[in-house]
Amino acid sequence: MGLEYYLILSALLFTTGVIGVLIRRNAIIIFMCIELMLNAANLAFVAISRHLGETTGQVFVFFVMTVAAAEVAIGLAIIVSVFKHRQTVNVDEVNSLKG
Amino acid sequence: MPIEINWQLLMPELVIALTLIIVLIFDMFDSISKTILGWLTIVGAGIALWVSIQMQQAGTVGTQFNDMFKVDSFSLFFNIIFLISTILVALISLSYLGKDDRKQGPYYLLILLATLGMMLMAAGNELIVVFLGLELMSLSLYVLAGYFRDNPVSSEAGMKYLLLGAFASAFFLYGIALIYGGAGTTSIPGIASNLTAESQSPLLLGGMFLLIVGFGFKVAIVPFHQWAPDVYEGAPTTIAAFISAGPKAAGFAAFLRIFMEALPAMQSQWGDVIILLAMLTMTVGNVIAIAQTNIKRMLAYSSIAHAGYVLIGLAAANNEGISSVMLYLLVYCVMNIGAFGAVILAKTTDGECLTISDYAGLGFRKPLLGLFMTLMLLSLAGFPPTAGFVGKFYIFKSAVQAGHTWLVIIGAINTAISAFYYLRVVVTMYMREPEEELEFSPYPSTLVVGLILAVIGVLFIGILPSLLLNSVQNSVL
Amino acid sequence: MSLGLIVVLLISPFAGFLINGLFGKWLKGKEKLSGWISALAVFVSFACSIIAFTSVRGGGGMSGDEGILYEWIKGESFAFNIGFHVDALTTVMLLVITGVGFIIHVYSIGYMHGDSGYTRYFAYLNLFVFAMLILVLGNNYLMMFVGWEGVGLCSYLLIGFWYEKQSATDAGKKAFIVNRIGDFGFLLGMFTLFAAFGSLDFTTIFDSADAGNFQQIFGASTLVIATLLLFVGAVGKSAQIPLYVWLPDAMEGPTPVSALIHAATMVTAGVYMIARSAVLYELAETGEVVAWIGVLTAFFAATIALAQNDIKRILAYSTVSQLGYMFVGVGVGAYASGIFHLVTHAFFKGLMFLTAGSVMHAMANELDMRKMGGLRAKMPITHWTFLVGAMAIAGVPFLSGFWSKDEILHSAWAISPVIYGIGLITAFLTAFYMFRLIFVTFYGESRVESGVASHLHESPPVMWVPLAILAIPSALIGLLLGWGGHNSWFHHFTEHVFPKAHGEASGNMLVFMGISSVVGLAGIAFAWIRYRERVPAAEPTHALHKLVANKYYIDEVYNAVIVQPIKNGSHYLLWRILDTGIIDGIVNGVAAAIRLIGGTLRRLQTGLVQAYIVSMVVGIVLFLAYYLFVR
Repeated sequence: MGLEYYLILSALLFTTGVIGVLIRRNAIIIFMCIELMLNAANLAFVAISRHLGETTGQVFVFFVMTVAAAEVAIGLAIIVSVFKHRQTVNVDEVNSLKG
Repeated sequence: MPIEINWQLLMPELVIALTLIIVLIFDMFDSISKTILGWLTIVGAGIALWVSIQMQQAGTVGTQFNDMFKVDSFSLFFNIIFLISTILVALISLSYLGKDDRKQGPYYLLILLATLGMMLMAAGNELIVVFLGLELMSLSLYVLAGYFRDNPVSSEAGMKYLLLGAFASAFFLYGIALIYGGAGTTSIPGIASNLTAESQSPLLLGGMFLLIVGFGFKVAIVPFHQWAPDVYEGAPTTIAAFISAGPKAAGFAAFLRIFMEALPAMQSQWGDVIILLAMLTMTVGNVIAIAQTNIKRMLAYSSIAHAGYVLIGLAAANNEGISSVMLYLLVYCVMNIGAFGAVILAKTTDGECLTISDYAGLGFRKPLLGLFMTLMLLSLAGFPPTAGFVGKFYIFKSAVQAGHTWLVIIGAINTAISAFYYLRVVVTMYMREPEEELEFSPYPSTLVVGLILAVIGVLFIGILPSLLLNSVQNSVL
Repeated sequence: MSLGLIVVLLISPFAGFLINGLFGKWLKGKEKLSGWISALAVFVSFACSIIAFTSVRGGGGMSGDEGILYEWIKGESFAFNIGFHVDALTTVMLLVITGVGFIIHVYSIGYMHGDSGYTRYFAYLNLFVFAMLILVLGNNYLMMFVGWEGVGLCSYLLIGFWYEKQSATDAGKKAFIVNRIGDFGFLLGMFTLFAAFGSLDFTTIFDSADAGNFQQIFGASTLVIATLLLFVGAVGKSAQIPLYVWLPDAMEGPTPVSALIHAATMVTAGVYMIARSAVLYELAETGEVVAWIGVLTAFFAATIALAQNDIKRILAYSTVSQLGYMFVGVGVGAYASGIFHLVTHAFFKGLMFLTAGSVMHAMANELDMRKMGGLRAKMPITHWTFLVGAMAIAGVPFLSGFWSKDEILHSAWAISPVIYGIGLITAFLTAFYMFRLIFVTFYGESRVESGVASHLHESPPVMWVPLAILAIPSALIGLLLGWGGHNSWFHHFTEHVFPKAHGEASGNMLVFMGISSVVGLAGIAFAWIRYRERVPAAEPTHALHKLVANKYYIDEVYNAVIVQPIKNGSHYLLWRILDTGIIDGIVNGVAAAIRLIGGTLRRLQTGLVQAYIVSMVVGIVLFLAYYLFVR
């Protein structure tokens, strides 16, 4: 199969993530959608790496996964601290900073 | 294949890494006063700064780790900017955090981690290294922005920064993936050599565009800027100063390196976008800043506008432009941290003075504070003989050389607009009577030292720019 | 003379400023130390000035390229340099600034004793000297402007030094606003010069102007416009009609500040600027305007001084009046005479302000001379030194003011007998009001309140020694430097600096001297007759007296005609813009419009994360569309 199919799939995944970020209100789900976008990039890396016949792209995926894991850990901690103050993770209700 | 590591080349990064390990170890002992951690940070960053300056003067050049990490005058100059920012921020933080021990340890640790991330970004010779540096920096900053967990506003700032920042990072990463597909490599010199004017695939174009989005977010370019005011207002003031300085410079460092070294062949594609973004960023930043009443938000919008001025130099895309951007970023970091430092200095017994009208009458009542604040704001507004004037002068000059006269005219109009809101604070301080008597806390001496350093920097560069200018002109890519 | 010398001269007061400014906290307990550090810093400058002076006397000096320290900033076709211009005029100014400055610093050590802002005071004072030195040392208009703004800044800070007093901060603000008008003129003048000459360097401008080699941006009147704009700056800084109103209020500052800044040095910056630009004023032939403004100010301020009872205010109006004389001097082309009067005035007026400070010191800050009287018995040194100063300003023969004022009047005669006449009347008034002050304050019955009278005392040595030192040049400097009128030593020393004066001595000099002496002595005699034993009435008795005592109601007129309309007008205008949404191109409208846009745009900042994401995505889509469809 050609590279295009993988890239199209990855683009679709990415767009799904973006749309999820746009329409969901729960901070944790928004966060998961962002992870989806990262994974779309991972898919592209792997596919391109395979297509080029070299391994760098596949190695990078490990880096990205590590970063994503760190991001999740930090993100959940911050969301928990917001929840402690407001008893909600609905992003529409977290808007005391504006203007 | 055995890996040979040239330790000398990595000295500044190693010093910072070592310092953060030491800070981590010291933080484990409860018997030690935790203020020492701040001093350790300052000493460590000071040593790294000294090493960087030495290496920069000696003209050290070299690559490490399979060409993924490149040390040259450019990266060393940016190291100097980051380390100066870190030292200044640590100085103004010492008194800001108060005596609460629990707050101190991770704070300095995270600042050092972010600094290390910035250094990686400036030295990254490989898109993925830039990405890792960017994430190391950003993740530390998300935590720092939400550092005052007991404060709902600080947590909110942390969450907003995190969600928006992660979203932008995903774009950035996807951009790297597309460039990898288009150019067949992620190494910066590799991309440059694989890229010719005719071999441009839509993948490359899309990748380049997504990189602009990612960087645009980090350095707060309109329309990717909206996180900045909220985060600056909500974050601890010292962290707002930090975010506005080093990370912005780091974003521009990687921006410059990737676009000037890897993608110069596509300049016809990115050149006019940058011009457009520059106009938009300056104008929106300055115009909204006028309507602000909170001084931290005003400085946030001002920092957005300053990113616009920097883009003018980037759009020039010549050696003059690069050197003026580097000079400007150094100047900007010093004066912006100084301005935030002056905000911290204006502390009443009830908390910080954040509303601009609180500054009424301070000029005469608190002469030192008035002087610091006035100098920093005059420099931000670009009045001679301050550093801000010199920085703007060379940015505009490079744009004129590149033929972007219109951009310079818009920049000049924006400078005039910006003078309006900067001077409004000065006028409030010297010409208005306070509505109520505020009780001010005494000045913490470390904060005053930090501010004095900033003042010296602003005046020194403003009065004697030629010394620094030579060094900058030798450091262009 | 080396550049190094000038750098030391310039940096020394700045170092004093830094020490006092940065380590003020640690110097708090040791205020004497703080004061002496500051005085020493100025003394170093004074010593350097003497070296520079001897070097210039021996034919040295510095101008053009040799004075350039370094290049500050460089554009395509122009460069601004940091450099110095040292000639006879510069060294004269240097000696006055650092010499009088040093004495006043020493005096301040005693005067400010016990003040809570002691180190802050000396930091400001040193900074002032530094800025004033930049003003006179610079070799281009840009540096002059930097110094010009710098001395202005220190002046506001020192006027508002006792910020707890409402009147002090108000006076500071007034000085600031009035000076902005003048500075704006100066700035425009500078731009005009830059547009015409492509440079701001003195040598370049003066040489090209002489050769007629410049861009005629306003046609034939280019230089006229430039010099008049610069003169607007001088009118503001040197307190001439119509911008003199800030100077009397500036007396809210500590008295040594009045002596140094508002009598001896800063306010004379305008005179210096015109003397420095003499070439331009000669070519533009705008001197007559300067002379007229000067002589009218001299007369007008002198009449106001007649009816004041606050001793510092009398001295302030007297300063405005004497500055008017200096402008007459430089206006009629007698540049050396104008600068000579600047020098003598710096000594005798500085002296009189310091003696006034000494009186205040003894009288628990009382300034109303109706509550004094007979002070001569308790304060003999203060009395004698004040008398010397008053005699000098009144034009008693052979004292310093006599020589310099006479030279100016003499030169004015050649240009316009009317100016001469008004100047002469002013000389009479000057002698009268000064001796009115003396008789009421130091002679007659003591009217001092008993509480104050018990500890009425002569000032400590750190204060009276400076008085005595200043009294000597106040008395003698005219004789030493001015003997021979237009042929004097001073004229020879400065002859290379100025274009040949066209108001060259006509008529017999001795006749003029005779007339001046008679007029001055007549004023003194008249004051003796009227005020030897009488006290000025508590309330003005007739309409003219009331008018003068209230300073012609100028402050009230300004308030009614300018301040209030601007206040009301802008209020009304802004209200209308907001109300009707009419935004026209006037400046106020543009500012309000930008504010309005900013206020609207900030509503986009909703505080909602997803709104921000939407705007990011919209931005991305728009830029993609730009790539796909526009390009």
